[in-house]
Amino acid sequence: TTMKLLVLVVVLCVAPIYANNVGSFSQLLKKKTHTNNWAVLVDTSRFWFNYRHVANVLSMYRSVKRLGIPDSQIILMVADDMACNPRNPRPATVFNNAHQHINVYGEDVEVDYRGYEVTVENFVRLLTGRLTPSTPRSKRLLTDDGSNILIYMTGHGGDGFLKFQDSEEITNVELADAFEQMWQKKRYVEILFIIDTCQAASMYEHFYSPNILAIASSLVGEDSLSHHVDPAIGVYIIDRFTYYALEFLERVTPNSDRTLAQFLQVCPKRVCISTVGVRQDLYKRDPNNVLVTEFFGSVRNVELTDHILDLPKCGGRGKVGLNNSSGTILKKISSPEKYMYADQLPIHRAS
Amino acid sequence: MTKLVEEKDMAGSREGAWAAAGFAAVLVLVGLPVWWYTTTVYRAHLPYSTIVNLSGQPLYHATGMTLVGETTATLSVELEKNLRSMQGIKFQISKRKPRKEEIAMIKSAVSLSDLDNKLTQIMHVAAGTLAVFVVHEPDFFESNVSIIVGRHRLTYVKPGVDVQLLSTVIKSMVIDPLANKRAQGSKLLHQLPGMHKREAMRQVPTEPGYDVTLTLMVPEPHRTEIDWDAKAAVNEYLKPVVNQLESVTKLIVRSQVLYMSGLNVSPKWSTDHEHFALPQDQLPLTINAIEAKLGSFVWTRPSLHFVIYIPRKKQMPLHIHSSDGEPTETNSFLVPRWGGVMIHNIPLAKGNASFPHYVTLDSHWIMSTVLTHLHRLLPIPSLKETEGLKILPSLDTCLLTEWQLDGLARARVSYYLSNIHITLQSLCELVGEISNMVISDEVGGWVWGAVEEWSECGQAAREGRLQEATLYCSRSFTQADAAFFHPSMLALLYFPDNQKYAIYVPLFLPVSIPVILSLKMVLGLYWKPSPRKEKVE
Repeated sequence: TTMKLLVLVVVLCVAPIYANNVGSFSQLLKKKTHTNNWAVLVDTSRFWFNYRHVANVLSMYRSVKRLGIPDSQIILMVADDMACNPRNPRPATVFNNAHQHINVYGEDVEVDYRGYEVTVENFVRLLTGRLTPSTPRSKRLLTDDGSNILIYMTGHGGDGFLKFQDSEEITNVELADAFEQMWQKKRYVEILFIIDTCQAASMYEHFYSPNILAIASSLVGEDSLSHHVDPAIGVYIIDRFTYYALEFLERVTPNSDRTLAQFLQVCPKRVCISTVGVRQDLYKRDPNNVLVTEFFGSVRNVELTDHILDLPKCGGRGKVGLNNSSGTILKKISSPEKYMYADQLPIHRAS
Repeated sequence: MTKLVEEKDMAGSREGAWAAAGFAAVLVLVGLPVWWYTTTVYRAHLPYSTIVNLSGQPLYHATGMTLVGETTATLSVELEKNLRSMQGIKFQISKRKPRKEEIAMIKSAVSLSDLDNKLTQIMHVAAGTLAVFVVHEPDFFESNVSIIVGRHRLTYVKPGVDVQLLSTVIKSMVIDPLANKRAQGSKLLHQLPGMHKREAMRQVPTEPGYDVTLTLMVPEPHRTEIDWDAKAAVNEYLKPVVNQLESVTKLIVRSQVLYMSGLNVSPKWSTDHEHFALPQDQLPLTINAIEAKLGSFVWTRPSLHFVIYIPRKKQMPLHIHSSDGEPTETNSFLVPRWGGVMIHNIPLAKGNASFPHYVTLDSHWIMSTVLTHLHRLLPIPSLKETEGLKILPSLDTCLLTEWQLDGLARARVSYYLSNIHITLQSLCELVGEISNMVISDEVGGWVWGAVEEWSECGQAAREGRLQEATLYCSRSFTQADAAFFHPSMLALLYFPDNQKYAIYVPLFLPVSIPVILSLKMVLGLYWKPSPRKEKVE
């Protein structure tokens, strides 16, 4: 009877897990609290030996794009160009694995802030929205009060700061203030903040705005380590935390039901060597009920239209039909088009 | 001998003391003011107290309502009681008896819509108000109808109408309930209670202008050549609505045709219905692939996209199935805060017809769907035909009814008022926190302008002057946002307090320590004589 009891207990424990997974995608979808997704991916270091930071951020970009967030809602800031660096033995490619499985640079990468444009000021201006009026739309973070934002930062960091471009730093206080300005103007619903640098946990210490879940690759006093070196290139090509995070994300599909709680366990100490730090006190929802695609993907709550307005025919043609080809050929004999030379310089006319 | 040395010492130390006193005097009397004047930043004066006062003022719309006709006393009393419970709207109900010409018009009415138009003309119901006409004509109402809602601001009711039904109808007509809840609570979307969560996310946030983009997607242009005169369709259906909404919100309409791109859907052939079935759960991911191609990067205004999709030949005919497995009638869906997508099936050509086939699209169906989606994306109040309620249909225009226009204006004004309050309050907090942030004249001008127009708008809303309130509020909102998002208001450009100490301490401490220590000498000079005097005495 004890065996039977044991089997019963095991079955009772295992069954709910299966019950939850079946149809949990649609269930959790109903509890969604946002309408659109944005991603801000930042790489702050330059020089050839920081190849791995560029590979980190491009791998995240690739995952986020694959899971559905369009380019118009991704802000990619890369401080240096590794693909076209003269020291790159495989030009126009950036790999995140010594076996060159995936070229994360790809053919449709869209970098919004490149090279020396990646500065602390530009980053804070982007977050708070205080950009000059001439900034193009692709460089703006046009979030509203229904947006979930994924912010990923990588580079060299220290206790309380993150180094930008080898010449300036952003402190954790400034970052916390930027998020507070975003909260006051209702520019986000939830933020998932991931940072992969040394002593990364110091960067989220001073956050005080609600609905932010922060994941850091190492605690204060620890260094984040890189994963492996590519002997052909001669530099480390990916960091440990991002490598294992990517391994997890590569198995996520746009309609998967993997939760954030599983993502938080992605890099245990035995593989990451540094301890992954998580700050959950500002985040009200339970990560077990939050899908990974709520931050990394773009799943919209659509509404089927039950009935359309009964409007009178305000003129115009009625039914769908196949025309005779002769009818349309007659229509095409119209007055010949007048050709003109195009403007040499793109002159903007008031639209 | 010692006295001489002492006197010399005293003289020397006196000079030293005067020197120390001189240094201290220069430091305090000259140095401090110079440092103060050279490090003050220019801060334009902002109306902080006015902002605090205005934040505390109540936010409501005054809506006048005229009850025309012979009614029982209980009807008007009950109605007033029911309507008083509405948050954000204060009804001012006035009663009057019907005039002779109005009664004559009702008696001689040819049709309801004709009566509605004529009666509105002679009754002069002002913008922002409503009128309820109690009709005693025996044959006016159909058998189970007790309320008829007109296309202007008139509502016709039977004498024995159910007060609960009437008050529900009026509450839905006056302002969209979701928009009202959002503006009143000024909470975030997911903090709104219960069932409103999903619906609350549907309506676009209120902005002064929107870009409306109509996109016709033709994934196989080599097979079908689509003949749709978008310009004519927009001019006939959308342009009148855009002109009507001009005073409330600006809509800029563009249209485009997108070739060679399709939606990534995998429908299954349904033998029951003899068409390809697209289940509802595949819809959430459909627009991600095409979003980048819709050209939303052209302007910074928020855009509303309406997509008309012609399915590929191998997936034709394509119908959307709801969760119960049945095809939807409309074959379209709404993406909250983004726009709408409709699937337009075209007839399959005969086997040996030459490519491409020329197809004309059903413009009326397309534009009706677009307008339906637009009505749901903007906070336009709508009524559902229920038991006892009849809504007069439009016979010749696609315009909104006048009470819908009023409702939209009210929702936008409510939203603007709560938003401006948050923006200006946050700006004041930011400016107060960083005491050396420069406030330029430009920003100061905008803030003063925003505050002035904000108080005017609040006043106009409380007095029921809806058109003026809309104008003031949209101007105030634009100015408040311009001030808040001004590039110079970046906190990063100004030293926070902890960094100020790091800069001032190494500059001033090495200079002030010797001066302070030498002041000891000055003090010593004034304290020493008294004990010596005592000794002599």
